[in-house]
Amino acid sequence: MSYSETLEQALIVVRQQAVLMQRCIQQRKLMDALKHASMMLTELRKPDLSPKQYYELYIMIFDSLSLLSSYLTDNHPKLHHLADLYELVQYAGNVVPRLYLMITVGTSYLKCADSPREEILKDMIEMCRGVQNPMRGLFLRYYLSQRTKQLLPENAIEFNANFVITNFIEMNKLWVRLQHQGPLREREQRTKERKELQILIGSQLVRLSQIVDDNLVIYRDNILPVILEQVVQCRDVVSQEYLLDIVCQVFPDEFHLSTLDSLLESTLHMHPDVSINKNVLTLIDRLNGYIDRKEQEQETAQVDSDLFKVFWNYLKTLNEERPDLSLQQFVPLIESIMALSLRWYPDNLSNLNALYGFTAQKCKDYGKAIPQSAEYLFVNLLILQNFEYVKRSAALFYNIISQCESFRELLSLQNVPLQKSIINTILDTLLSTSTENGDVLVIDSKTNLENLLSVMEPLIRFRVTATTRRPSNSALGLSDDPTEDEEGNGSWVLDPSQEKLAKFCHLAVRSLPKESKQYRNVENQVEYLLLLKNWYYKGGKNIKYTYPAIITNFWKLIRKSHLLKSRQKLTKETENNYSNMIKQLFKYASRCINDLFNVCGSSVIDTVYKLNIQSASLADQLSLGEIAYDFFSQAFTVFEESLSDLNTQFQALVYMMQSLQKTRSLYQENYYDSLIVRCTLHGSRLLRKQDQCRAVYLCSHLWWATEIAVIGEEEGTTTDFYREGKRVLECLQRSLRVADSTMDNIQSCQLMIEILNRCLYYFIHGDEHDTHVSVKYINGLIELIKTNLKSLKLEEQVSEQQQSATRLQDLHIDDQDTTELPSRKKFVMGLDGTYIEIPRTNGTPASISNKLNSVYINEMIHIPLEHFDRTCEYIVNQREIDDRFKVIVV
Amino acid sequence: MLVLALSDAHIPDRAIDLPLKFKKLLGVSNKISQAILLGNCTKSYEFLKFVNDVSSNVVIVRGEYDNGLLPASKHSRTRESIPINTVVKQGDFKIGCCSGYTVVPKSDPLSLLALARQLDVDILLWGGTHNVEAFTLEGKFFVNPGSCTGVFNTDWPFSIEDEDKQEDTEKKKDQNEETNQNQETGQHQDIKEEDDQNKQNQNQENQNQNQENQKLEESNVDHSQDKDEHKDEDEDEEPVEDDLELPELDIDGSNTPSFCLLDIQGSTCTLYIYIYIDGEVKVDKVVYQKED
Amino acid sequence: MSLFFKSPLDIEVLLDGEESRKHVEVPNNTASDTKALRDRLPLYEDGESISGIVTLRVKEGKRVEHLGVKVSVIGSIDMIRTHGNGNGGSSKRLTNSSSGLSDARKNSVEQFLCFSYDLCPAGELQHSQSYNFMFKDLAKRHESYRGKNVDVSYYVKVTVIRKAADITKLKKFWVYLYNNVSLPPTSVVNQRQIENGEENGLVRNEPKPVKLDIGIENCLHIEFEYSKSQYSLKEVIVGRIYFLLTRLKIKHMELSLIARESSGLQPSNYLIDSTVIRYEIMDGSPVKGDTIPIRLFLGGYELTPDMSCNYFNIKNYLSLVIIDEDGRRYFKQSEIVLYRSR
Repeated sequence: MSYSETLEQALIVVRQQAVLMQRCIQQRKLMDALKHASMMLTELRKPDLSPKQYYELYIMIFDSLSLLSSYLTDNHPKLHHLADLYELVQYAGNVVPRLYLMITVGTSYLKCADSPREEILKDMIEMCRGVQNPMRGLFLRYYLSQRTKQLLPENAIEFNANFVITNFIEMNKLWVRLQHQGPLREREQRTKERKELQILIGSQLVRLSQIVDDNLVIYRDNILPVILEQVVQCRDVVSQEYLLDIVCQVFPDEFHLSTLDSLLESTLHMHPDVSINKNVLTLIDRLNGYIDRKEQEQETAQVDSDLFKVFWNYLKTLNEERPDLSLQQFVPLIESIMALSLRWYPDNLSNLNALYGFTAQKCKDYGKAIPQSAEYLFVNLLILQNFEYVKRSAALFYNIISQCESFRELLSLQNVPLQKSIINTILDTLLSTSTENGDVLVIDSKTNLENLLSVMEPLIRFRVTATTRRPSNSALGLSDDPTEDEEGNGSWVLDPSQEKLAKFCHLAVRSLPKESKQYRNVENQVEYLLLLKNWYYKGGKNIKYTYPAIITNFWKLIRKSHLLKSRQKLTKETENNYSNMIKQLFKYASRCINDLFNVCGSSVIDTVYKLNIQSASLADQLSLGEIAYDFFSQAFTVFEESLSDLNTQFQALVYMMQSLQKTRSLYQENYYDSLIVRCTLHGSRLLRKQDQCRAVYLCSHLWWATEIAVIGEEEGTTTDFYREGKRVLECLQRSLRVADSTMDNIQSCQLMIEILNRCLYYFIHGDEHDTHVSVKYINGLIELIKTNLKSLKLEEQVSEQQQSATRLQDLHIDDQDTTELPSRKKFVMGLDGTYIEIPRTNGTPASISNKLNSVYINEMIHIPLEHFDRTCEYIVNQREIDDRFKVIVV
Repeated sequence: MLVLALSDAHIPDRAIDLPLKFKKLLGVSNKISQAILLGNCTKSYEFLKFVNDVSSNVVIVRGEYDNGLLPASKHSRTRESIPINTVVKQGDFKIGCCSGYTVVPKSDPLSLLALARQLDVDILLWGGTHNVEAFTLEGKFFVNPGSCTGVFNTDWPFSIEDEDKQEDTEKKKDQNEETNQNQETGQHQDIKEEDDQNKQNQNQENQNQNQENQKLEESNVDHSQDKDEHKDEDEDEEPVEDDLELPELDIDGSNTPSFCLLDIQGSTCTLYIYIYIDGEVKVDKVVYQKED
Repeated sequence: MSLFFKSPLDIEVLLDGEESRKHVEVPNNTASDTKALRDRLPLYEDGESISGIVTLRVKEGKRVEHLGVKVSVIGSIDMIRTHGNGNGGSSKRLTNSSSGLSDARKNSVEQFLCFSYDLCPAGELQHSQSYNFMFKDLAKRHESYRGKNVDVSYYVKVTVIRKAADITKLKKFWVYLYNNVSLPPTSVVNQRQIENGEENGLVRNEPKPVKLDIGIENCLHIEFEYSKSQYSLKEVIVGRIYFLLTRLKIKHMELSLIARESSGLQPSNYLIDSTVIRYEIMDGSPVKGDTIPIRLFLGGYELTPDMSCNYFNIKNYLSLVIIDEDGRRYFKQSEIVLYRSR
């Protein structure tokens, strides 16, 4: 009998014959039914079908044969004897239909109580050898397996297991053979087809696992060895990878635990192209999943042997026996074993150390530079990023770094950018403890802090260069000019890595173990800080990122020591300790500031200056006048020697004033006097007149202390404020002279109005004989301003005509309707004298300029005009609450 | 129109990050049309990235530790300088922004008022004190969002102890007293609404001093209790334990982390003050109406 | 022919117990174009008596004069060609009309059995009349056979002898010769070998499995093994093919049974092979080490046991055929002995 030409025809034939067969069954014409069955089965002889097509035929036929099978069973032995039929169908001339019929009849017979089951089964499986074509054979054997599924004898586990194993082995052979069918150029296609068929083979192992159930002894002694032998012997990559994977998946965890050695051993004999790591990973996933499952059942996973040891030994053996394995093969294997160790023995980091050491050796043995394509492998190992169940907590990394020397070794073997990225990740994790996620990091000894720092060393030392900087900042849209600005107002180059190091400093100081005596804590914190300082010093210019954080922490310790000292009743000795400690801490802070200055130079001048000022403020608050004075002096030195930029100078000096104005401990030894005089002097020496003027009128506040509520001062109650009205007035007068001599009329008027406002400040603040700022003086000033503004207005009118004319000309509009000018721009002047153009639309940033833009001279003229109006309005308003304002003439 | 005001992050010099809850709060809404950084906010890549994600319209003024220039943008080589002060417009309001480190005397209301006058603004945002404040003066609205990280402050330590939050009635009384005092001197005017909710809007003048004293006394009391407990065991030991646990807040000398959101609709500005206390975020609301 | 010369007399031969006797269906070679045509013949065995009733029916109103009525039992060997090389081979023919052959092309070359006796003397038949006949314990030397060139046929022949043409009637029957069950098959072979004086290396004397190593050098090497060398017709051939080496791309493999009819007078034998069974035993191409089982039930086929006599012999061969993917066929034949058993 021959089969159809095309799949379509074949499907039609199968359908037709199936219908005919069914009709015969209904009419109880068995012989005819068998004949139709046989014709239908002939289509399964058809070659050149893809697995999917063949399956399509198969599944249709399977269903029809199921009908036949029930008929056969139901009517045995009334209408026929199945033993006879079993012989009868063997007369079929073609082997494929014959065997399908045999299996159909044979399995129908199995359902009957009187059948010689084992014989039939043995015979069927033996006869299946007649089909050696891979695909037809696979389906035939799959048919056998499907048909016999429920029919294997009871309580015959060994027989059944053998039956299924035999079928499995034969199927695997056929499956492997499929690879070699057809022309060589279709190899890929064959592999694809094989993958489509793999489930047929895999199903045999599933069957096996059902048969074996929980009988470990049979599995271990009889089944697994046979399976593994077959897997090893078939020498086929696809098969070996797939089958080992399936074995790991279908049998129970407990089985794997008892047969680990054999499983691992088998991988040593695999085809060289088999990715062993995948199989080992599956196995380890299983074992790790075992713990999960046990935990879900609230049981503990118990294993007699040390799993890590098993895998460790395996790793070593593999390393010896398979020197050909690539890094891509080998390292993931190590990673898997690491996953195992972290899951089963989370506290045993010596395992990890061993693995890191092993990997490091592997790295060294590799000899040449690790190719870029393999880098990620090591990253995976070092930052443990692939383990879902491992919480990559700060504590974990901390423990690894402090307990696994080899971690550092392996890290150091990577190239610098890679190290940097790894350290960044670790730092991120460590820093995550700072947010409130319940994770607490304790760095329990200086040694361990040093371990951490040694890991970070590449990052500490990492030089920002043009090429390395770009990628990180471009993500933000904020990129930095690669050339470092050596000017005092240099821009800041953002460096995310250095930023992390700075943050780590805060973390480290807060992460040390707590002692019962606070003084000990402070001492320890100081030690940690000094350690950090020394390590970070290695970063060279990078300290501009990290030292401010260290200085902050010294400051905090200063205040902490002070509070501890003042809030506790302590022994003299402890009190002295604290006092000394505070002094010492100021020295450390000073050292840091100096280092910053010496190493980074002018790029950090402003910062250095302000750090000095703030250190001074801090000392002042602790009534350490001398120290405060030293720091202020230091700030002045910096100012005098290095702060050259105009804008930087002005704001720096104003900040000095603000800080000095809040000091309280410098009155001894004339420290305060000398400092404020020096400050005023600098103010009056500023290069630009307007800066001079503003600095000087602001300096007036240095002679007029205002209340600091937190230390109990209160306006009207406190009597000993440092106030010298005469000096206040002197400053104001002096600044007025500067304002007056300012050549720019707008700036000059504006400065005078600002001075007027200062006068009003003092006017509100105190009596005229205290402040020396009298109504007469204010009225005089107002007169002066009015006069000057009048002149300024003249300037405006002239220029406005001129300019509007020219502008209209530019726009080619006739000047008939001059009143309808586009709404005017509006400017105000900032407290540093900058021209701020008030934006006209919501949200737009103001454009700010240091220089007067003569195009808008008319609008600029309105700055002082309007400012004066507002000031006058204020004066008028104040009259309602303060009668004294009534004598001010506006 | 929501405007976010953040100040004094001091990342990474003094702080590691914003409180996570702040980040979550700000991270979810994309409604913030403008973010204003009021000083000491430009040294952290991560922070700036975060702010940029919250709103693409970021206005920055210079704090004492900010550099004169911003990092240049990707597209232009020329670097923008960070101004000492600036003005933005939102709704009917002109808003002045200033870090405050160039205001002398520092945070002095009259000085701030003079600045507001000079800049011709209705609202003045300032920073640098690490203490959230909001008040109206002369019809103008003054807002200091405090430090968004609540970090160390080299100013005179500002501390709020637990006692501070004790009783509303007491607090209110104090406030009223202060308000009266302010009115007497003609310097302050009360915020029209939400007065009792607005705990942070005052300059903590008197009561802070009281609290400080109170606190010191109490710690002494604590201490003596400790002594009693240990008496039996170590009688001839040093009578002092040196085991006082200091609140981080005291060491930092700052108020808890805080920031402000200004919801501006026409001539109404609703100020939301977010304060981070004991791991929770508290919100207060103040409404400011612009006078014609 | 008889249509034209209508016989005045009908002869009917009825064998005793014919209805209940086992019958054998054999293909009718004469009508090879109508496949389904088969003869159904009663079966006898060696030494069995054959008896029955002959009825002569005279057409109504007719009288038939005769010279006597005779009954014979005849066994004959018939052939088409007696010489293997002879194209114009058929030389002498017996008269067709009287021939008892089923195949008209075949001519009797030997009547090895012929017994006859008279049923009645010469006379005139007016009515129908019946006569019993019997050939007691009739020895039958050969088994019935209907082959391509040779037939072995048995029949009872009734002849009404007349002056003019005789009127005859043939009654065919079929004969099976069973091997003595008590006799081990080997002795049958021995006996046969002795009889034929043949030397056949392929057939072993020992009752052990037959194992053949066959192959093409460096291409295919297999072991062909089956259980024994002689089988009863109802038996099953069980065996295996073991592939020691295979470089062929095999498409499938068949096992055939070939019956070889060798006829004619020695040495110019006329050989005709017919494939009686074709049985696919393997689909696809095995690899080294594979074993393919063989199980072939013989009982369902119409097979001829081995036969031998002076004029012809029948031998059976197992033939293993391997067809490769290019359609080439490779085969190996091996003689087996088939015998009939009860």
